[in-house]
Amino acid sequence: MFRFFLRSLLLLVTALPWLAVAVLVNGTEVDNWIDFIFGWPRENGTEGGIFPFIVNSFAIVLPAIVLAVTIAVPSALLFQMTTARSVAMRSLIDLGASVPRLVWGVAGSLFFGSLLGLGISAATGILTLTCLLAPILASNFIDSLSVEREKYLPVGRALGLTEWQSWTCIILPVARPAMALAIQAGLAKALSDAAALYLTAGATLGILSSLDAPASTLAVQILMQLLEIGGGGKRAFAISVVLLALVILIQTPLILSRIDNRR
Amino acid sequence: MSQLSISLRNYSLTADSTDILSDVSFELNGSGTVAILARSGTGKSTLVKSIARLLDDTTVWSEDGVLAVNGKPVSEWNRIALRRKAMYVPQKSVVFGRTVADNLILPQKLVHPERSDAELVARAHQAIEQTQLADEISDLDLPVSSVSAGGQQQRLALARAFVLDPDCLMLDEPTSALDALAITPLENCILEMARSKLIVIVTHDLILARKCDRVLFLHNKHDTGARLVADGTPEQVLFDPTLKEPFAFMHAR
Repeated sequence: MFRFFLRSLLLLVTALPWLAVAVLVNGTEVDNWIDFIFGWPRENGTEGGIFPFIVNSFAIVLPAIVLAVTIAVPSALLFQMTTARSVAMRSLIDLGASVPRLVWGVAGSLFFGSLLGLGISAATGILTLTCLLAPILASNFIDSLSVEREKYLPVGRALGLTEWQSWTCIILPVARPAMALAIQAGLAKALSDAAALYLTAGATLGILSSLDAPASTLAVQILMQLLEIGGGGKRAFAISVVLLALVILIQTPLILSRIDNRR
Repeated sequence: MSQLSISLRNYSLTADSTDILSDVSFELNGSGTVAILARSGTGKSTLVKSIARLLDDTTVWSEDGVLAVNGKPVSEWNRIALRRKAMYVPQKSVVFGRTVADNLILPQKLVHPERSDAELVARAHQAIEQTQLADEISDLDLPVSSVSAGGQQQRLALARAFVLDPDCLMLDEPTSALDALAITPLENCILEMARSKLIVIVTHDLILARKCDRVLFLHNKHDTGARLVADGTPEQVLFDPTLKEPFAFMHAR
């Protein structure tokens, strides 16, 4: 068992750099990066740039993150503040966090798309992504708050603060950096989501014009290039490089803060 | 300044069916310093925590007898109001937030919203002086990371309680992390403060206990729960050979 685990780990460690190299080598065969990043797609998406997909990615992911944080912070606080700290509630949150994205996509397209009549649109994509992210963030926030709870809640109580004051004025500010990191990781995850958004926000070539119109993100475009457009492999790799660069850009403050903490 | 009375009559406390306190009775009134002495693990901290209703909520506690503050059983008090009147300062000092102001201004704003900004700052500086932190803390915006030594954090935690100005302060080992030079001025500050309020000090520090107005000595014989075996002035409690346990405690070194 241990050997199997060790071999798997070894394979993973050696395979990861090769995968990264494969994406970079295949993905950097772009004639003009400026045109590719800032240009509009042509010939049904087989030529031209990817600018609308970059805009769409942020236009869908950012509202979803804001909504998910708005749901996850009170949920995590409520969970921590209730004396029972119910096992059922925590299990439900963790279950929500581990539901595959494709399942969220199917559920989102059925509920928001069909039942609420939003159809395949940016709104359906945003709401589905919110449902996907909220439990992941809530689970992370609960863990971040748990760490600080043991240390700071007795202090707040001893000072005669109410539970609400202790949580919002002492514990939440202390836990904020860890929660910010969870949001950053969630942002990166949401940007690279293709399965749920393909089924809910759709796959078009244009820039997002309204919430009830479909809009394609970078990750969905990669999927489209591979599944729907013949010979789209090279373009998919190139979009992957852009997506990877964006994710690294988002993660940079996280990496820098870790380096800073080590000093 | 309103004054506070704490009254225990035949008070017993068990934690998960283990006897912690047994049949403890005493009255504390008005102002002055009261030291609670006992060997480690006897239940001194638990006693003061039970007064402020700060007992660990993961343990099943069972009480018997009367524990009242200002004549009203603590179980009938609003916990927040009680803790603001009888404030417990833990032995393990924990500072929070980013700056000294987060520790000395923010709690004041939350507990005393009626105070003006000028009063908040004036009280913070006064507490810094009282706790001998003026040399280390020149500015309220100083990061708490620059007050990192155990003794500094203990004094900052004391200052944080001082600014809230409760009627009674219950200090758990307030000098345990302090060096010899820092202890005497802080002791003097506590004694000065005791002119206007009740200060209960849980301690092993016999020098500090001898400076207090009154000493309560707890002893747990055969794990049947700690009982109050002596109550009086330091001379009455610590130097009377007929009081076996306090006398042995005093002359152990």
